[in-house]
Amino acid sequence: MVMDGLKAKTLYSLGRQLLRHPFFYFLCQQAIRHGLVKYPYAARRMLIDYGLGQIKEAFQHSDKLVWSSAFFPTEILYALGVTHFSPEVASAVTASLGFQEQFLAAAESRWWGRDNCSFHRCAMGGAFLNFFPQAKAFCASTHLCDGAVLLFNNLAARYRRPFLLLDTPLKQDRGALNYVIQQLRSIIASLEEYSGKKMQAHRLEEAVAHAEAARQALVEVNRLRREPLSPFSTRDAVAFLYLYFNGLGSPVTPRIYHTLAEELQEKINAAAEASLRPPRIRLLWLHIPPLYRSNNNMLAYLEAKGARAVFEEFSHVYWEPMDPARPLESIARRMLSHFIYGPVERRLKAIKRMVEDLKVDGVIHFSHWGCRQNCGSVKAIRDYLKQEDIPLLLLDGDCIDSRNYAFGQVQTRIDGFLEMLA
Amino acid sequence: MNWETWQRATPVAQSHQDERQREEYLELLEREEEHTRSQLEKIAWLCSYTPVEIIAACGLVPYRLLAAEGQTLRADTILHPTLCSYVRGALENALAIDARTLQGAVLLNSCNAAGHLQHALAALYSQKFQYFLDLPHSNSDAAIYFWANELRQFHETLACYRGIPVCLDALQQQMDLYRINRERLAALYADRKGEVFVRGSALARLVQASMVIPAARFAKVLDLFEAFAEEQKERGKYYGGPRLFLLGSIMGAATMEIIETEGGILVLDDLCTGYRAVNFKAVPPGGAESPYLSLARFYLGRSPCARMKDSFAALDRLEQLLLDYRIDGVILYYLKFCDPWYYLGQLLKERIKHIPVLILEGEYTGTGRSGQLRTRIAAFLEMLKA
Repeated sequence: MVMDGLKAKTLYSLGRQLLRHPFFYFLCQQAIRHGLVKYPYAARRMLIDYGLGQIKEAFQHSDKLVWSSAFFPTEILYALGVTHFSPEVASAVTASLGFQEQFLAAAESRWWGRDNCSFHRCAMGGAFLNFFPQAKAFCASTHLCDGAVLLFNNLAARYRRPFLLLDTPLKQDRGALNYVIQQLRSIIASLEEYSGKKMQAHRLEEAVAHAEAARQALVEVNRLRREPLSPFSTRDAVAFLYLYFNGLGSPVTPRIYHTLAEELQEKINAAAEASLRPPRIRLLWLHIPPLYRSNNNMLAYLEAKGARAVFEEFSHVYWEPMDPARPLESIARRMLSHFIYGPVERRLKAIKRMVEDLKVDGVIHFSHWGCRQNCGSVKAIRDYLKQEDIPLLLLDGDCIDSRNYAFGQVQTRIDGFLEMLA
Repeated sequence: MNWETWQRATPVAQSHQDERQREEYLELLEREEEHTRSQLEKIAWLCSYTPVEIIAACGLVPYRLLAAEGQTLRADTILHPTLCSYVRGALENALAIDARTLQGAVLLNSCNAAGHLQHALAALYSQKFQYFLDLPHSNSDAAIYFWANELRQFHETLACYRGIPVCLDALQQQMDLYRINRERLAALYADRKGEVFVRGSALARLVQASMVIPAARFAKVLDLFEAFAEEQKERGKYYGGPRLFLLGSIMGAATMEIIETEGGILVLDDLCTGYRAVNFKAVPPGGAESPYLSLARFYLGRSPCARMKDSFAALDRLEQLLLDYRIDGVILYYLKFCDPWYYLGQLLKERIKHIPVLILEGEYTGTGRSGQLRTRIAAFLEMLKA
């Protein structure tokens, strides 16, 4: 018994050391590059390679590393050459690999209850267990939820590190724009100080040019996803959200999106030639689907029933073209234009547009437990879609914490919804 | 202070004169509150960062919409159950009160829940004045200028709604009135570093009244309270027991009552219905600066709510505050689903090393939880006395 415990502890400790070592990610990259792991899309392979490269960098250069929240403008980090790490994305990856329970348990054993967002709770657990690289500073923006700001503020105070907050107003007027630009300048100055690197104007312009190239490529991907024969579903797309959260400003991001667009076009052509039939029911997914491993994946269940979540709202390109000649203003405009931030009417308008563009038959709203922003909008969305005569299914659950998942209930509700749509 | 000393210092029975003085004060307070409730020119507000001075300067009564204590059956059909009970209770209250007595509502983006409440109230008061203020998260210079501009726009919009010109003199007058009241209330709290002569719940009740009664009329209520407090002090009638510091989310009066009936002495609080609502840095009146800038500086420089960036760093100053007020125990009360206080509380518990901390989670309504709450509070106080 004692030996078993010791063995488990040793394995755990070795495992953690391995996961914290840059060489491990180098080996993973090599495995992927040499085709030891197969992916349905080359773009997906590029994405995993890129992600592994970033985490390798994070452990390699942890003396200059910053943690950034999901919606923080990464363009400035790329321009400065500052390595960054997103704990929320790390939670998603952790869940997709099936390790989330250990992280959640670590947080819960330190008095973190289960009523708050599991993305943040899982991230906290990872920090407590020392699985994540140490941060030099914590960077967060105030959108979309309170939780991210509070998590980062808590971590910064806990580790006695600077907390750089981009306070994004809800309004979108000139005053709000100036306020964001001023803060961006101030954050850049602080980052220069912590990293010892100087921001060069042309690097910032380049980063914004990369972000704009990524935007255009994503628009093209989204256009192809509207095609009835597009095989690319929310199941496939979730992993690519990594680029939106972490990759805007990097030259790699547009390359991955371009590759994806090319592959999609080829697959659509092939499907047309083979006279394949499109899915019986097309659905729009609101919020993020569950990310943990499960034998009863609800997106897979939908597909088994002839329905498909063809799009998810987080892939929606809501921001205007970015102008590299006015980098800070472009970033600030992108920050201010998030359609889920601010009055719920913005989100309703975007949902309506997505429903029309994608010609979906219905909408599924996934109410992630602990997400005040998302759950709080449920009534407004329900009322609006009812008024617009758009069928809606509300599913309660959790993106990270599988303990809140009861497939039987979900199955019954999905069956009823699909029956209504058929 | 040990248990024997506390026993010697138990509250002295109230004399007839005390009782008369207390009743006189309470009668005036309730009369003034009732008078405000009957007013038709009220603007409801929710967050303690709301610039009430601007509302008052436009000839309206700023009226804090507190949550209804009890069940929130109607509000629950509108707001999601994972939003805190305070916003659900506030909506329940808004649904219950006579809409004819309100001119509208002003809300702030204090937190996600407040944003959703604003949407619900917008539907409820679709024919009335509505405004949603964009409150910054920090008190940097950029934030102060942004907030000042927000305040100016709000003033202009409200004045336009009222059909009156923007009057900066009226604004300055209201700023002075509110500032003086807040300073007087803050002085009552400062007085509690020594022995406590007035119950903490009574002081919090007074602060809450200041959020409902117009500033000029409230000053008279304050006169009576100060006289009562002074009288108690002169007679040396202080309350004995474990000296407590209460902080966290907004809470119903029932929680404070439980703490006091179990023998705890609420010396100081950090609540937006208590000390935090009056704990402003002194800003010299007048001057060349625009009143909006002064007001912005004033509000953003105040003791921060947990949603503000500076709130976590402010924990470093907490130890000194606890020493100054000779605190024996800390009670952190946070509402279920109140993320800001939840995250701050995590750190607070770790930072306070030398003083016992009790963490309580509950609902604003207190429904069904008072027994559990009482047991936990009683056990905590027993531990402090041991």
